[in-house]
Amino acid sequence: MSPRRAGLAAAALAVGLLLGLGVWSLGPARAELDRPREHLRPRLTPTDHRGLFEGQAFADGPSVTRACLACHPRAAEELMQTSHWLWLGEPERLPGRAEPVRIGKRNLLNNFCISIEGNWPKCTSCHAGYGWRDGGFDFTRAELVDCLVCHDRSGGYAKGDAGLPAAGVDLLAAARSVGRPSRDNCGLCHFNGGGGDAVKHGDLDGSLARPVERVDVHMGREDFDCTECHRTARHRIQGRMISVSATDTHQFGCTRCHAERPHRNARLNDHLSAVACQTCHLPEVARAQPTKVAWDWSTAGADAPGADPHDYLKIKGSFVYTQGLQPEYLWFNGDVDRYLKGDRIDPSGVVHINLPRGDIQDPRARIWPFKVHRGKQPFDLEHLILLVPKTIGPDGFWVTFDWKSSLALGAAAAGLPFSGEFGFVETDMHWNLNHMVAPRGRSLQCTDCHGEDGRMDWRALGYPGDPAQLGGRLQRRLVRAGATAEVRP
Amino acid sequence: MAQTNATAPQLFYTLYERLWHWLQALSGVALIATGFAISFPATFAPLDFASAVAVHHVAAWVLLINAGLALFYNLATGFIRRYVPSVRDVFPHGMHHARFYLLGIFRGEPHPFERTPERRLLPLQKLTYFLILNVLLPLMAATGLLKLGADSYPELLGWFGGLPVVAVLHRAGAWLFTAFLVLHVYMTTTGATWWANLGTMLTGYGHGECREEEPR
Amino acid sequence: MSPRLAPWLALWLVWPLPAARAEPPVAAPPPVSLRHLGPAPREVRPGLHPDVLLLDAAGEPVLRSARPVSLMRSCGACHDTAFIAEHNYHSQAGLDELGPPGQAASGRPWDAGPGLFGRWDPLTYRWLSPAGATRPDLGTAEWIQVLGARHVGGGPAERSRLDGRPLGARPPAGSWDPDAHVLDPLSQEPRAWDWQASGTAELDCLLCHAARPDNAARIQALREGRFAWASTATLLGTGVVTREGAEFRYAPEAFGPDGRVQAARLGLGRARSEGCRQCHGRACRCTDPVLFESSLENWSAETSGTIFSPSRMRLSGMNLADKERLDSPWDVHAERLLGCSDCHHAPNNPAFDLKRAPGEAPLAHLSFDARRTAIQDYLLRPDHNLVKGHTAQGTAARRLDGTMRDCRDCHAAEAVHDFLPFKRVHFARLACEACHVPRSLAPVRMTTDWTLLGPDRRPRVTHRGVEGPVNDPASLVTGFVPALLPHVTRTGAHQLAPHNLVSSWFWVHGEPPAPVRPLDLERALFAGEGYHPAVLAALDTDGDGALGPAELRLDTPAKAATLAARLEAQGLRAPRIQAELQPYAIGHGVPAASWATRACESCHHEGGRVTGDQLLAEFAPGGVLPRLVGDARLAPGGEILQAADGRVLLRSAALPGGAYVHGAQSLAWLDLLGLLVLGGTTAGVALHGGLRVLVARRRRRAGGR
Repeated sequence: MSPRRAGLAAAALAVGLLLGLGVWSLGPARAELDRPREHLRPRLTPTDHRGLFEGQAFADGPSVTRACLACHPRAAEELMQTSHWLWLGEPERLPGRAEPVRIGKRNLLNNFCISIEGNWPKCTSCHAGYGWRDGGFDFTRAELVDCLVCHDRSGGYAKGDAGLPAAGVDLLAAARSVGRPSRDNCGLCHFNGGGGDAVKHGDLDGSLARPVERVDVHMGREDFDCTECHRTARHRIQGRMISVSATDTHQFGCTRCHAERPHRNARLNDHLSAVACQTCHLPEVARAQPTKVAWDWSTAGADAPGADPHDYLKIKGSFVYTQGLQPEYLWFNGDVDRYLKGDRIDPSGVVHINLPRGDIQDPRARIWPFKVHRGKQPFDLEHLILLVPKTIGPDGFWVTFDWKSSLALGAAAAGLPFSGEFGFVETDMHWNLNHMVAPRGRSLQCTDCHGEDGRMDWRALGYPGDPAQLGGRLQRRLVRAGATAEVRP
Repeated sequence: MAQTNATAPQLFYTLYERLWHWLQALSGVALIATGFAISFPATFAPLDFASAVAVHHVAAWVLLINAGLALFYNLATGFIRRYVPSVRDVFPHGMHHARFYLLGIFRGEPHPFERTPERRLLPLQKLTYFLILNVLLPLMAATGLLKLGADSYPELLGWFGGLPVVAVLHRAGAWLFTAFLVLHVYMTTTGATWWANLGTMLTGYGHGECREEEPR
Repeated sequence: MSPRLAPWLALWLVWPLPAARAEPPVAAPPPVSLRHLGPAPREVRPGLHPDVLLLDAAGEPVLRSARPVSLMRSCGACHDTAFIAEHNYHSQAGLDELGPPGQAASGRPWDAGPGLFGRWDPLTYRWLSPAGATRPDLGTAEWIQVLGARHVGGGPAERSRLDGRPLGARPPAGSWDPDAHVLDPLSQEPRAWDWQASGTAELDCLLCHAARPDNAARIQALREGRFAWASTATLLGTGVVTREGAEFRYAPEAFGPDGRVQAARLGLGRARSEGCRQCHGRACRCTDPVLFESSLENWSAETSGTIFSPSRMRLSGMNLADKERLDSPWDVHAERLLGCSDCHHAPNNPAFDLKRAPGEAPLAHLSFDARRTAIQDYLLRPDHNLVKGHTAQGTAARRLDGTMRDCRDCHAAEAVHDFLPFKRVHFARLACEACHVPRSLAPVRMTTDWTLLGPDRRPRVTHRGVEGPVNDPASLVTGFVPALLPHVTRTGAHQLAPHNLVSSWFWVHGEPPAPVRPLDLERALFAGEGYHPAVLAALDTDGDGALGPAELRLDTPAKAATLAARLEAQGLRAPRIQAELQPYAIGHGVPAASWATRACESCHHEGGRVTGDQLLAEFAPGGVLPRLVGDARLAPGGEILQAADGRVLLRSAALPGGAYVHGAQSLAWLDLLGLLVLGGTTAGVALHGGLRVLVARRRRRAGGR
């Protein structure tokens, strides 16, 4: 080999080595395990409607809707196919039932105000439409869609009975202010379910309008709107709640943005096969305001002047409220056993309105946190079904305080038989918790669930004992064979 | 008067030799700089400590492999002869050479030794490089490798006295190498012009100082 | 009555009525009538321990004899209590390691042994005086009264150090017989202790093995001198025993028809962390938020900054600096559900295989040895010489040091330290805690100055890590960075481990020296309620007649001499100030891994943790510099010096001969030589080049080339 070539070869080798060593010495960068911000979508700037509707005066809600449809012709029909309009879901086959059913707020019972049937004008004040004052509402008229409840950004829009705009609302100002829905829009209805702020969900209340990081890290620190997670395409809003749905189709979870194994600690990641994200990251709900955890209808009707409305209301009965509510924990695979109108009950025990399905053997199930609302509500002694009282109107219970007549009227409205004999049965309702996510430094620690003072009732969950000592359900071979569902949380 | 050679410039350093030299220089400077950063982090910290250590390690391997390849090259081509000093290089050539630098260079005397591509190392250079290449460089390489291997071969390090001995030797050698660097860079300015030798090492071509007779 | 007055009068009569009408009686609203207002109650499984017969020392059931409970007899029905008491360094407290005075490992001439019984501690200051002491302080009985609060009973609280016989069996011998005499506080003369009346304090099993032992009652019984009732007092709160005035009464309703007490009532079971905390730290439930109180009852926190709690620092009740960012739990092992006995377990506990010592290489052919002691053998004779670590301050039972698993016997350190260059070198030179306990956020003791007493008759005490008085909730707790000192491990290697350095100053007298007793110190300093005039004169620099904190300092020789004179006036010969340095190794309070030191510059830097000076004290009382105690297990090296501003510092202790830390040390001689060579070369080069430039310029001017 000539010196020149030898030299060139050696030089090339040296340079190559230098580069190689340099690259190698940099080492693997400490991998960022969880990069949720990459999944955020850019916020589109809405069109400014402030200069529009010159010279127009809106007499009522539908006239606003017609104006909207002039430029957004498909908007109404898109919404009219969804549950925000229909208050019903898609037809579904529910486990244990032969025929598919279409269920939703329109025809389901709960253990709060029980049912909208017979009580439409008041309950439907939160309908995304105008004029649903009785069972004969026309769900096909596009101009009855209420665009403003979600899109008003003036803050001055309010709805009254039958979903009609409240008296004194400036519809023109509302129409001019429209934009992308904010937490205030969704919260107008969803924070106030059950008859007041913070009553129903536990994890949704007025404190989420302007939350601090401590109350909810997504809405507080990151200023998420609801639609950041409840993504909406063509007015089809993602997400379901087991209060009015029985399965989790069209559902989404934390892993849409967060990595599937986001913790640095391997043992924490191992929890994900049995524990939902929410369990550790939602240590308690109702942080700022108390939520209702019990409602006893049977005591309603008594005079108790001076009673605190959080303890007792003559029209409704006795309550228990809790602030800083610690959730209850159950296996949940996304489906619930939903009590449907007309189902037979066993009055000697507790009737489960929507018991979560899943158990330790179910590979699709995880341990979720729930707010459990316990109630006592009327049932028919002969037919053994839960009854629907008519509370609204001059003949409703809230005026007459006559259970028998209210239940008869309610049964007629709901299409239920009523024998005339009624009693009160204990019921419970489960609300799985997703909001009020605590910042990382306030999540549960090991000692919160495991150990002597832990929150979990291991035996009730099906474990032989604390899995920190005995091993989890995979190690103990407690899980049925079968594909694990995608990590839903 | 110095007689400049009117002939065409000659190829003193092949491409490989130049590449080798500059790579060696670069890695040497990197070693010295990061070495100071490692030993005196309070006074000199161009990088954080961990990065200085990493760069020092990389530069060390580059320098060692580069030197190893150069050794192979010189052995294979026989050019290693150029580096071996003889007794004459010490006495009397070394004396002449030293006297030139101390006196003659101020008097404008011509350089006492001709440099040709075949005889490219001056006597003092041969001596210095001999010491560098056979004493100081092996010392730094050996102590450095022992320290690099402290994790995997701790007993070997312990056999030589452990870090207190090996690290002190390495540090002493570093001072000497730094002094050599200063001296070497300066000495390159003692050519026909102060940039002549630098140019030769960059382009490869240079003028040897031609003389009528061979120095004795 | 005037007609004009009537309306006003009527008003007077009428006005109560609206008030009365305004508040009709409010009917209580009907409450919720649900049967279930929460989840189903958890199944409570009964514990394994059978119901127990409580017996007295004679073996009679206590319900009948109304005498103190003897746990040795009661528990001894099933467990070999003699074995347990003997193999139990908590109980022995150094009794089995006593030697002649002057030969103790601590280096102090007045120490008799290494344990709580025999090793004087400047924090408590009381001296267990040997036989024949001319100025005795504590006899055995008073030792039990005063120091028995942190002793589990048995050992020296039961048996004589001389012959092993029960205390009180031997009649007093000599003017000061420590087993028989105590110092009478009034007459200050030795007085015989009535062992028949007090009884001895047995090993109290319930202190660790019951769910809610009443330690406060036990300590009070010991203080009152009712040693035999101490174990019984522990039962207060379980309902088995009640106190009526000064007497303990057994409650018959707590005993079953067969005379047995339900084990569930006593909560008998394995020792829980709450039990250990009674002496080693606060008694608390693991999940309580941390509220710190600096006192000797919180011994581990006071000396080594240990807060073994799972809760997050930012959720504590302490005023911590930068609290909102302190997400880490106080101790990550406590968070991960470990209790004290998971590491400090009985050596023959079958759950742990100790056939090979921790750190010993496993047999090449066997990865797991399944053979274990049967549970019933273990429960019969559980060896209470619990496995222990290897610290500077754990001076008792040192033959058992290193029996506990080390960090790396559980953690696979090699696998998770890839970011660390030369990790094995680091592992060899550094204890894990050096990087994993980089900071301690509990105020810790720094100095204890017994050369002077405050008006409260207490020594002057300073703390590290807190700005302001230590128990004031408004003081800001900044925490401290522990000193890295070369700990000598079991194998003789030196490892840098974090320590808290506690310095103490105190008077000693006589030859061989002994510490000046608190009562002598009080008599020297005080005259009646206030200070002695000579003391006031010497110390009261602002002349206000009282001694404030700034004046209670022996910072001049004159002040020290005054005190010495006062002590001599009490009859003490050659009183002089001595000072000692006691390091406390820090092994608990390990925060989350994200807190661990990752920046190389923490140590590889001049003035870093390895070469920086450690502050020992703000000033040296009497100008005396502390000396390291003899049993601290640190490699010799380092210098204790006093800076110009009076602060006492420890310098270069972390680098005994044979250590080299890049970037942290200056090798002055080598660097000087090197600088000379380099400097000389540079100067020569500059000179030579400068001359050449000059010459060339001159030649050019003279006619060019």
